[in-house]
Amino acid sequence: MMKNFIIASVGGQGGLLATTVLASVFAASGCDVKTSEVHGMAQRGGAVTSYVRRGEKVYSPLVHAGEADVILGLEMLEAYRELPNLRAGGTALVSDEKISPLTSIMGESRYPDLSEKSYLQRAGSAFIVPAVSIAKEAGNTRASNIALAGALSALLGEDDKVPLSVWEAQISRLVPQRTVDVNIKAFYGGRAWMLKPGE
Amino acid sequence: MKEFLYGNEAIARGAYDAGCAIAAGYPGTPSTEILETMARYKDIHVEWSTNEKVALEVAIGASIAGRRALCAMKMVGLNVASDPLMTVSYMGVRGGLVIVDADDPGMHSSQNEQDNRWYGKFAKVPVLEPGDSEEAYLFTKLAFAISEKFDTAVIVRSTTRVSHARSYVNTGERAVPEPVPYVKNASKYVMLPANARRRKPAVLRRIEELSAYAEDTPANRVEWGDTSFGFVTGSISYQYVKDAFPSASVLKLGLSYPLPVNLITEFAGKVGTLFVVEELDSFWETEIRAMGIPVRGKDVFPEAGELTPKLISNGVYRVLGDVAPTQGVLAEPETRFDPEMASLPQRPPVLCPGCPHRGVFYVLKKLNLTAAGDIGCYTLGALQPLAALDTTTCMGASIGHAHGMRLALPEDKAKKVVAVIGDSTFMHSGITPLLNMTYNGVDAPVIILDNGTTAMTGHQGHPGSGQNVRHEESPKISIEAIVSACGRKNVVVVSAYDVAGVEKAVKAALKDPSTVIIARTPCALITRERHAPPSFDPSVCIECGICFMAGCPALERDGKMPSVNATLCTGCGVCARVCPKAALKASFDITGGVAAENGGERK
Repeated sequence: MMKNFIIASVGGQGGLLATTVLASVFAASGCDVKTSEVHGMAQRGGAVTSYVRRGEKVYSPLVHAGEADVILGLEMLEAYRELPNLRAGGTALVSDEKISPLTSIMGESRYPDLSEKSYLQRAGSAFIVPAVSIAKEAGNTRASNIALAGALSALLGEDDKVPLSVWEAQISRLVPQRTVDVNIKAFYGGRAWMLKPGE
Repeated sequence: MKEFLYGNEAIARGAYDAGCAIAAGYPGTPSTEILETMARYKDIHVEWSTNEKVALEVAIGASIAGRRALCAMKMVGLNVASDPLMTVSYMGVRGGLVIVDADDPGMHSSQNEQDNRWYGKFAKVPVLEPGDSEEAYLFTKLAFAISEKFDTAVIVRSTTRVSHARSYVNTGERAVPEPVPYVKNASKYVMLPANARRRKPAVLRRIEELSAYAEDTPANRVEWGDTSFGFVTGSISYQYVKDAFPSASVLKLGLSYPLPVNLITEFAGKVGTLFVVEELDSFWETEIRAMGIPVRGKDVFPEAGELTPKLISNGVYRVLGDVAPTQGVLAEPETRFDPEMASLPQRPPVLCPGCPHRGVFYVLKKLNLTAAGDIGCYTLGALQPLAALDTTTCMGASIGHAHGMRLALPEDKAKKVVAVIGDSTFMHSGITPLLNMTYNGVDAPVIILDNGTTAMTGHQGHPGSGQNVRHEESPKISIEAIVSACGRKNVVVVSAYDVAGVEKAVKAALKDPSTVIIARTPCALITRERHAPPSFDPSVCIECGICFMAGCPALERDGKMPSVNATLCTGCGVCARVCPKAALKASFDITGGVAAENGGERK
């Protein structure tokens, strides 16, 4: 069972909502769950990292170096930055969205060239999910976080199937009420992509 | 009922279930959600007070009057509230009084990482430290009971990793104790020197009684395991110890102050090497050494920043070598340097697209001014490329700092000093230094960045916002009227998006430094107002790069020219208004410089 998840995003992308959805889904399926996140200044367009851990008994709410089963990346650079925290053979599940940090806009740094291959240097498996276009198709690009959650739902192992009704119920409860339909669509869009990646 | 809660939600729920009737505080990460959660309970009084000192005074008043009261703040907030704290220790309570303090080890969103356990020892009041949400709930309830049993204020100290972590909580039902009837008792509640002298022995006796209570409080517990070495720990550090050494013996301290001497001595006698694992200062370590017990602590564990299981296992490894049976986390002497990761572009926080502060900072930088800054989102104006701030210390410090700098600098430099402060920070502690300027005949332009909210902590109301803690309408206090009442005659209101208007106002204020400029445009995250993105004509662009100096994440780089990210852009037009050739054109006009009450950016 995958136990340790890191959600990497840029402040404002909805990384904390993705964290809440994931944690609530796991909590609803009965195991011990802890999350940790950082609010305040870090949320203002900076790198935001949050954690979800589950298991029989969870102590630390943080996922530490080399412990993550999955890195769920809402932004390519931020997902890449978290790779050292992935366990050997772990999975990088990354939205193809790129947001330039201000230093790159200023011309003081260069946004790295990132592809599936770059992630595979440090991950057992890597999937670059077209989460923004899936979300756009569903009706709103901002639902890319839930599209990525949909992809994750398909990644969870055979021994660890969370019923789709649980995902649906938690997404419906947690997203802004007028966006429920869009988000459910985005979830299934992400899930469908993951069941047949690359198509 | 089993609920999945943030530490902050659990504290609020614990206080509610304990029958807390009055709750006050001032927003500050990582404490903010405590009062926001309490505000959801409609049958109690909850308020954002103007600052933490006022919040504690409100709570003390409620306690003296016989009701259970709570106040909540971040750790630097307790500095502000320390004046009443030091004396309420002498007075004691009537209804239970709980002060929730949220520390921020690692300084995720703070200007220092002070360890507020010292306030317990300093004020001689007990400190409870939960290590997860379940304990946050239980300890807050316990804190009210301890408060009334021992006639003392109680500090509940959380940290970022407790406040902003979620785990399961077994919640109960709200039980409201009968209010304690009010009886005037001046010898206990009027701290004249003669009364305070009589109260001091009670304070000292109370700490002795609490020390005895610490020996068998349910907040402290021993978990026996392998005894070849053992840990004294608590708070979030306990979780890290359990991850690193699941089978070790642990004395978990929930009551951080005062400490149980017998319990610690007995535990130390039964284990080999004793490690004290605590984030930040050697608070317990110093106390335990004073008991004559040899321990390892800050000689092998870091004193700065947050701990991790790995830092703990590394520290143990340094003392015991590989005899330590670590599980889960590998003890490696050093983390290897990863040059590729180190070379990745960093992503510090930035002012949001559409942030009304951006244009003001652009002007300050352009005019090469010395700006004393303050605490809020706008502290980010200190970062490149705006780099417009010279100082940031604490809430309200900008005006006093500008005052001092004007006095101390040679005239040619002194005349370039201005103060920059947000609206909520101005209400919190900017009024007294402004009054002080007028009183002492010192002038420096003060720029109040009025975005109508306490933005950084997630948009809480304040006396100038017209919204209370429940986002209901409240009396809206006029900043202009306060400024005038402080003796500042020249008050200019401009729209923060009107870059030319801001520049004109700042230049005029440098000539008449008694001027207060109010740059008034609501926070873009609140209004969610969007204009069309600016248009861009590459044939006019001279590739000067000035637009990039506004530092907007929505204005990306395409070679040497700008390219607007239409998803991020709010159309505020600041980039266009700094463009010298009008290659970028804003989608709406803003002229005249005076903003209407709603921000006035639509003409």
